[in-house]
Amino acid sequence: MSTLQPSLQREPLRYRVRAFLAKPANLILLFFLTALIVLSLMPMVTMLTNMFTVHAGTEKKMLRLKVGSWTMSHFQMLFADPEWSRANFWTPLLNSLIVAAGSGLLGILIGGTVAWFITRSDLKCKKFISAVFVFPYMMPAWTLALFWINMFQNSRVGGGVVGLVESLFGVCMPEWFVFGLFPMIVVIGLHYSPFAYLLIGGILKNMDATLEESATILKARRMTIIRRITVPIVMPAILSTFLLIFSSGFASYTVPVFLGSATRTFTLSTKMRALIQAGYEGQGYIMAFLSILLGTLILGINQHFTGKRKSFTTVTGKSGQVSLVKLKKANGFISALLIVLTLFFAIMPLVSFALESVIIQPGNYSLSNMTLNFWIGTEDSAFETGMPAGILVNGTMWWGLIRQVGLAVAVALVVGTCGMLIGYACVRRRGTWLSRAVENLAFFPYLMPAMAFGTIYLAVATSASFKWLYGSFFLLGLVAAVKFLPFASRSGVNSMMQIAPEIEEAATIFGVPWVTRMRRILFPIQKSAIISGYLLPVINVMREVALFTLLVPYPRYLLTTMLFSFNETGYAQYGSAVTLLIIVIIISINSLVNKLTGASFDKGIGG
Amino acid sequence: MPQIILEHISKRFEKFTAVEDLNLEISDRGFVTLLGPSGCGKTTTLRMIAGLETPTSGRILIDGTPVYDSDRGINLPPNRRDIGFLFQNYALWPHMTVEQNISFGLEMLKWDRTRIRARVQEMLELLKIEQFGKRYPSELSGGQQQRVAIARTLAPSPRVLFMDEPLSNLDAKLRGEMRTELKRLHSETNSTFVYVTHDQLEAMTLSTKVCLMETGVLQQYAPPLEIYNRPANQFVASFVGNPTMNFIPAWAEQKDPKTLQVRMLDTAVTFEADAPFTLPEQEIIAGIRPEFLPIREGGALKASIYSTLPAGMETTVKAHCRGTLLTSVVFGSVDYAVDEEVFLDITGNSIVLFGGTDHRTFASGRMRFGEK
Repeated sequence: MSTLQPSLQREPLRYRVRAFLAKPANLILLFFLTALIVLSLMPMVTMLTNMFTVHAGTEKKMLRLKVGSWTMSHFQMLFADPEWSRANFWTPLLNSLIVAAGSGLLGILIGGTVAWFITRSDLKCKKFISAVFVFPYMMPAWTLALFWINMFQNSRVGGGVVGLVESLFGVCMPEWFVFGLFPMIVVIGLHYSPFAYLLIGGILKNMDATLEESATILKARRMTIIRRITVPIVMPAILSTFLLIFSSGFASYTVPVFLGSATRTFTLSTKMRALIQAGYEGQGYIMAFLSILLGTLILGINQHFTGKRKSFTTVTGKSGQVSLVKLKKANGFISALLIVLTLFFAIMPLVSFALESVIIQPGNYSLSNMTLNFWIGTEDSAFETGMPAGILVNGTMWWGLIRQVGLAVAVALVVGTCGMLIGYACVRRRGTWLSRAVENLAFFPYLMPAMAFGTIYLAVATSASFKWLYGSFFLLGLVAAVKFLPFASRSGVNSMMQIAPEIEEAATIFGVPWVTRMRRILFPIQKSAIISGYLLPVINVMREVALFTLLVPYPRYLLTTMLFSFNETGYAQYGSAVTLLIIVIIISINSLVNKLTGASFDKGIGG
Repeated sequence: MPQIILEHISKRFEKFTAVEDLNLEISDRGFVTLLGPSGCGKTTTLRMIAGLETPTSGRILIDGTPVYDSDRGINLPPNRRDIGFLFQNYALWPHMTVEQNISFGLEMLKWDRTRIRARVQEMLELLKIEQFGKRYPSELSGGQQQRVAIARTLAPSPRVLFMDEPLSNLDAKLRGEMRTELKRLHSETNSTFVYVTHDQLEAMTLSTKVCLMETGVLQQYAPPLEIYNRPANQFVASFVGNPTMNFIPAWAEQKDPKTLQVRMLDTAVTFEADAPFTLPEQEIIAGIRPEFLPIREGGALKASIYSTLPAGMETTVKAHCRGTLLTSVVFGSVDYAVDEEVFLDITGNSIVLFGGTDHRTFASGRMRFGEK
């Protein structure tokens, strides 16, 4: 035995540093801490300074100040002038809040009801309804908005184009029904109702059945149980779902653009873009900043709810034996109604886009008015369309598609890998400040509405030192990667939480190196979750419009921004064709990955 | 052969101290149990010896080699400590079959294929799980998974085997069987076992030495029977033994270096110690195991039955004696009526006395009724 008496002191610092760096999880956290500070905090700083500085163009002319000098005039203009303020700030803000709250309520109502029917009643065709119901969530929200317009536009509103409903039934819907806040609420609410369905349904399904059974034994009636036991238990989930839909609705850009332009109904995000385009950049950045603040606030409230009451929804092994409510005579009717409604919102958009992409004269759905020229027409048969040929034989379209797919794949590889590494490192070092910092920083971009986020990066890319970034493929990838990291890191954390640390330690004992542990043990166990982590960013990039519109070098650079320019410039057939193409691509990717690995964008709860 | 020495080991987390200045010597081929209530630092200690956790300060030597030394910045990774670790939840890799689970570690040690195959077969036979080789962990029962975990841990023939509450997920009957198996494995494998448990019965029956801890501090480190008969303090006495020892407040006066005049339960008792001692204070606590308080005719302590718990082989009887609830164990099945009057006697030569304020043991010996 050694005669040296070990001291009771802590290890000397250099040993502690060495021990700290010997753990791969610590290295990963340090790397991401640095990267995320640069990528998500620095742009924030740029945006903040932009709120107080003079920009070239309109501002310079109006204020007669040097570009880059400090000013408070953006605030004065946005808030002091009552007229300007009402039109450009308060009304759009109010509209945003109405749309957000309305769609939140609608989403919960639809999603929650369907979730209850699927998990707690003896409804027929559960598998089918469940599978079709989540469809609209997979499609971009703006496709539903376009579908709405295709269906209900009529000769009396907007551009006066005849839609499917008028042409088939001769019914003219009033303007408030076709454009403005009402359809925005319906479209966003419908789009997110599968999200509510998945969250609430998941909890209803995993809820400990004995909680309800013990109430049954105490002779409580079915309705009493729902009111006093079931609803209070799912309440935190409902609130949290509401807030998530609320913030998504608030941040939504594409839906209000499509459904609001005709009636000049602005929300905060659409106004922000309009102001920046009109040269009121300072004001635009202020609005971006305010929406980030609001997003943070909502997330804070959400964490307050879920954090404190999370324990309510403990998942136990003995669930799934719930006695189902017998719907009796109503069963057939409710099942039929749900099937018809889900089919309508899942299949009809596809039919509608297919139709719209082949008719020559809008509003005339007779066979003689149809052509495949918008798809496969060559130069000779091309119309006065601004495009040299149909989209399937068109170089611009193919390049847009290739770029978009390339972007999606690149972003997914980066984001999926980062998310997983962050998940691994954060879970392993859970409880340390470093782990908390990285987890929060990775989630930070979620708080920023896509439009605000794009705006910030636009500010960075147009600043003198980063001019080389502007309009580059790299910038698009970078922005998308940061923007979609929150989901990936969340799912990374969740999937790594499922694995007991002993599973990895058992391999450490055998001297298995870190890389092999990841490759041979952790990845294979969480294969499905990890592949979902890669799949989600692919789909997100494939359907993203708002984030890219500001950052692409020219509108027809990507498929989604191309679509946007078609719709803005009135080539509706091309727009519909491209939309259909995007939906088909997204669905194919999802089902392909699902077939191969069992992972899915939406993990069904039905059946 | 491996001897494990812990010198001044401490582990502090941000806010609390898990292990405080722990000194421990685990001799070669011993079966040492780290025993204590949950949160006492026993698992942390085990993980520090294994290298899964880094101590804050101190030194650990395995077989004379320092594997951790805070002063010299030595911290060998687990795989260079030649150990095996059996986890509470088995930590079997769910995506590998039983055979793959066992062979994976050997592959990592760069064994050649034929040798791996032979060793896997040997392990399957040793643990009687030959028929499950191709199955996945989820297709096995808890007891079978446990055996696979043991096989995987033993496969590379580690010289030290660490076990973290390996039996706590099994039902009572299986636990009993596995205890027998572990004891047999210990003698067959010739290695040192370090075993963490909160189950005092497991510690008593399995180990050659028990290390009892509470809130990060070592309470007593001794062979099981010594822990049972000569507990170092009241905590150790209360933690070991089921049903728990009776603690009776008493008042004592020293007659000579080995004799005390004690007054407890309103009765005069004489205590004769095994060795000379000095009475630390007059307020003391007498610790009497239930088996040393038999119910018999002619006992001097009158008591009334509170409840009777027959277990077949023996019966635990709780009875009130002058305001104190006492526990007695009687051999065989006896059933007493509630409030029935009985008489208790004091027998045995392992009555322990604790100081009334410091709760430390200061003497042990015999007791008889009456004055000297």
